[in-house]
Amino acid sequence: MTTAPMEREATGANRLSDLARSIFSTVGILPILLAIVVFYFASQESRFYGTANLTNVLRQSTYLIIVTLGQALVLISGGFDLSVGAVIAVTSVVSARYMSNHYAANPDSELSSVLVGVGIGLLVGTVFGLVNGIGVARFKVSPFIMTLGMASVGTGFALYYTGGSPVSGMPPLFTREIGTGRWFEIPVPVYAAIVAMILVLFLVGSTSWGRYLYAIGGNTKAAYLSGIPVGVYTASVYVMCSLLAAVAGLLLTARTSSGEPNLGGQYPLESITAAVIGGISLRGGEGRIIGAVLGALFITILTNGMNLIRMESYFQTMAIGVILILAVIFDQLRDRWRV
Amino acid sequence: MLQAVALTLVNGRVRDVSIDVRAGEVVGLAGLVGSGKSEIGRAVFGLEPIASGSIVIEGDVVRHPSPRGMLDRGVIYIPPDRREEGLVAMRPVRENMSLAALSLPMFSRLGILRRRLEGRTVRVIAQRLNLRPLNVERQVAYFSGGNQQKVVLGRGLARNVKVFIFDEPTTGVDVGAKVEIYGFMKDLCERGAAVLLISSDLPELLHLSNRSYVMHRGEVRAEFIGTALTEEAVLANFFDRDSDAA
Repeated sequence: MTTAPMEREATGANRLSDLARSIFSTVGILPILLAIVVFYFASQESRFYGTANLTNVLRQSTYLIIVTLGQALVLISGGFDLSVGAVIAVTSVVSARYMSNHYAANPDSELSSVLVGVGIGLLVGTVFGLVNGIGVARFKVSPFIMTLGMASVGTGFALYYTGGSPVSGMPPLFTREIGTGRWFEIPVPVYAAIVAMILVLFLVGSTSWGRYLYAIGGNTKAAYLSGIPVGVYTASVYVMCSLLAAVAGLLLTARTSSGEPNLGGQYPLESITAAVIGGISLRGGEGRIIGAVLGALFITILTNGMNLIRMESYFQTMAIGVILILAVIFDQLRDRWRV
Repeated sequence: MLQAVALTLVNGRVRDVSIDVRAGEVVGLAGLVGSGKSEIGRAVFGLEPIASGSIVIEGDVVRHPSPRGMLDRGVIYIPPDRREEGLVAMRPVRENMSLAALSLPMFSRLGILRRRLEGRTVRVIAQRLNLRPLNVERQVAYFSGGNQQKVVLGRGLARNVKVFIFDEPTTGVDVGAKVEIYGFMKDLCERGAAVLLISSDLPELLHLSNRSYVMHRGEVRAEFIGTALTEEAVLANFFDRDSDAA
């Protein structure tokens, strides 16, 4: 039995607020925030919209985009992954060590060294993801605790593995081409981000895997009653997320030309912020991948702008925190403002 | 087609229960809350741990029932609380209806969805159920209770289901939709399905079932067929007897 909704006066103010609510419900606050931020920085610093800076922003955003893609997948399935930063660090140091050892032993074959490093890096990501996935799916550890614990395990391991100092000695093919190189004027990491985006969009939109993720995140019981092997798919999404983080870790390692045990610290927070502000709900089962990508772009533009106007880096950290809280508040409101 | 033989659950809410449902009939399970009627349906589908006894589907004993296994055997369980266990609220009708059948060749090939075919199939099912409005792209949260229930029922049509277990199928459903759902159930029977109707709604039970068991405190108290299936007879078995026959 439905009860008739209470009548509200059709005043101008009410109509305006209803319109605003419906816009926010569908599109979120990102477009407005993006507009505000772009206009502000463009007015403060003319270098902001120069080609050099825009290319820089594009390249900088790729790492966060790739990590956010993975984070978005986990969020959609109803969990989240706080260990992405640790995955980046461990991938960085382990792949760098293997790569430089192989290169030192075979100075003529740069390509094989790079392949060894990349392979090891992806393996690290897979293992991390499997541990997270099994912990959450099989042992029913909450995603928060599981990935938080693994973040600690990873960061500690990276420091232990390197004794705290960076790993150097990687083949120039890696650091020059992938780190700072460009193909057709576009920085190489951008291609990786585009490939990752296409892959994830395809998985989410056209496969049963993606469909199941939304069901598991939206209503796990309903998914189970529909015969979906919830545990298997839950675990697999953590593997996917860690793999993507590992890819980002490899790209960042190329950029810094060394395996850094402290790499990636800000990514857990930033990737969740990017995803939520892009419309991926913390409740699970909602949100579009393209929104997450735009969220990551937004965070990068914001950080870039803040650097250009020479804002203190401590203020920048505060700003990101505020954005995260704002994003979550709007996520809650969107749920309430629905018809 | 569906048989529970001497079924006893770990939680003790069902004890030594034997029922059977044959193709082409609607079998009712009546009883008060706590009588164990809902637990039987859930146990058959693998949702309640079984202590002893067995579930037999079309002559095959099912060792460890699970939703997935049961769906593969052509059994579906329609839960009583569609918001809690039935629907993914913010996803469209199309995705909700095909949810239990996505692995079938009709809906996907090697993991890749066949969206156009899915859309067509779901639209046909929605038409058959008279979903209103007939828009399979609309999120299920925006439909009325009766139409939401139709979406859940539609899942049983998206794959080859021969045994339907309905657990309180018309709670929170308006009269018009109720009538349509009753018609749907009768239609299922005529096409050869076996229907187990677990319901607290006595008129509904009496109207639809050919045969009914009455549960009381975890056991089958009585079974009524045809003309013996009356409101008085069923009600009499809902409660403790004043004096038990020696």
